[in-house]
Amino acid sequence: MSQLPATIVELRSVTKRFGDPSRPPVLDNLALSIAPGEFVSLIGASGCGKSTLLRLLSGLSEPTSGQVLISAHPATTTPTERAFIFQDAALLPWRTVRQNAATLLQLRHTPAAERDRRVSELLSLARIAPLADRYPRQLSGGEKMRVSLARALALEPQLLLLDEPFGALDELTREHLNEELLALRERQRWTAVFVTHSVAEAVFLSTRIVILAAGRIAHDLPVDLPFPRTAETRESPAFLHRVAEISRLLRTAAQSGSSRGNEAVRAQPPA
Amino acid sequence: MTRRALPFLLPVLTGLLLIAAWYVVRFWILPVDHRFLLPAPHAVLNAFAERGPQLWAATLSTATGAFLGFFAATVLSIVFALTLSLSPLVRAGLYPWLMALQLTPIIIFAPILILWVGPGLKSVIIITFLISFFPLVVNTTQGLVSTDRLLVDLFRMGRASRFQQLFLLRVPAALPYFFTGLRIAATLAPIGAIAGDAYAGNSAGGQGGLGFLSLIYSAQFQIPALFATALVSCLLGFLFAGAVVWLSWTVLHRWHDSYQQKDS
Repeated sequence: MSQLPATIVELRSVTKRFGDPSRPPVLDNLALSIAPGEFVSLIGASGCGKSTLLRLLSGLSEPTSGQVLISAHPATTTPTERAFIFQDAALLPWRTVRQNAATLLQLRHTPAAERDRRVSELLSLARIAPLADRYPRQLSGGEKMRVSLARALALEPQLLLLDEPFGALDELTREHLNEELLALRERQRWTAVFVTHSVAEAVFLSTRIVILAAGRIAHDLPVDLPFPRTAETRESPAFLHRVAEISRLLRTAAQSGSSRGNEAVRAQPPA
Repeated sequence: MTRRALPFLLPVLTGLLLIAAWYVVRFWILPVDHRFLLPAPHAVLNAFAERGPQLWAATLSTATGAFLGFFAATVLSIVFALTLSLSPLVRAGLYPWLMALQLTPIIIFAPILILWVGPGLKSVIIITFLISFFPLVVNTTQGLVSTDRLLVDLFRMGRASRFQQLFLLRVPAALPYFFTGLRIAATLAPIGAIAGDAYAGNSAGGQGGLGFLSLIYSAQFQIPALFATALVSCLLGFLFAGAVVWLSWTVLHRWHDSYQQKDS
């Protein structure tokens, strides 16, 4: 195995404000490092800054102050291959499943033969090969999200950024996709930063959970359940115990966050 | 079988009923001294037979004007919409003047135009252009600037060039809007050509289009021939609208929600 760098994501006193400087920042002097191979979930009440953090990592926005480094380069210019998976599948409706999955490679001008090879591989890994010639409107929500996953993973990214990708799906589909996401990770070994509202989902997927409250890290917790994790993992006492514990920490973190006067947290109490 | 045939049979049926009603009005309801105002359907068909070559030449002339004006409007509207989609400032600067162009009634503008370029096909084309241009530009521009934010983010994340973002994302996303504009323009183009022709059809060669012909028939009190002219104009409109509906279906039916199949 090749020598991996110590960190792939490095946040140094990152602050992000939107608009009025008198209001509390969305991210407040945040420090965080993520090692290659980690699966980190960001959880916290609405408005705690987790989606903002993900956008900073994607390079779509820049911090007000501090540094966001991906493999030691600023997030906006890093050569590290990243893929973003949105809450919505964000498919191009005029493209078939196969063409959608090839979109990001096409933007990179990947040669057609290589593109076809990778797309075919990912379509079968994501179990949507039989749907290759369908259009998005002919797909279910879960199938659309599989296409979205295949499109992202066809890039062979080193860093995968996921913004509540399964939030809109039914429970059963969500659990299936969680299991398959882990199976894909066994093959490709990307690092993941995952935003979710579901503690159970976070515990199931992650090697580490970061609870954000009012733009700061309230807790940074390892999840040491053994891999591979399967449907049975969800019934194990260790899993259930961890979910209960983290739910409790999330609740207290959100409360102390709102008592600090963060507008966004107060506006929407945690579910 | 019957269910599938129904959408085609029903319009034919209503058409037959309308013709029957037409005969009833013509021969039983109208007082005798007014019957000349509403020629019977077979009289209109007779006018067709008698005026055939004249009507055909006029239709060809109008269709040419309508098509060229419509085509020019389509091509130029795409260029214009791409320019307008560049920035809100460009839109702010140009939109009011586009509106002004649209709000000036074509009937007022036509005589000025004829003074400038003279009567004949050229004027007809320009008038058709003017009437079709606006809905095309407005709809296409709207489409180009309404691209889903998430998809734009996806392309930005994917480090798409401006060129890729335009041709792989904004343009295909704008197609449904473009076709909405195209349908409106296709119904307006023959009307514009005929209205323009009523003013500008009196070309040097003396061969006008349908608009000009209707003026002549009206002056000569040839009422069945006037009805025949109306019918041909209507058919020309159907031809334009039908062509665009077909084109739109060809491009969009596979993926766009407006053509959703019932079984999926």
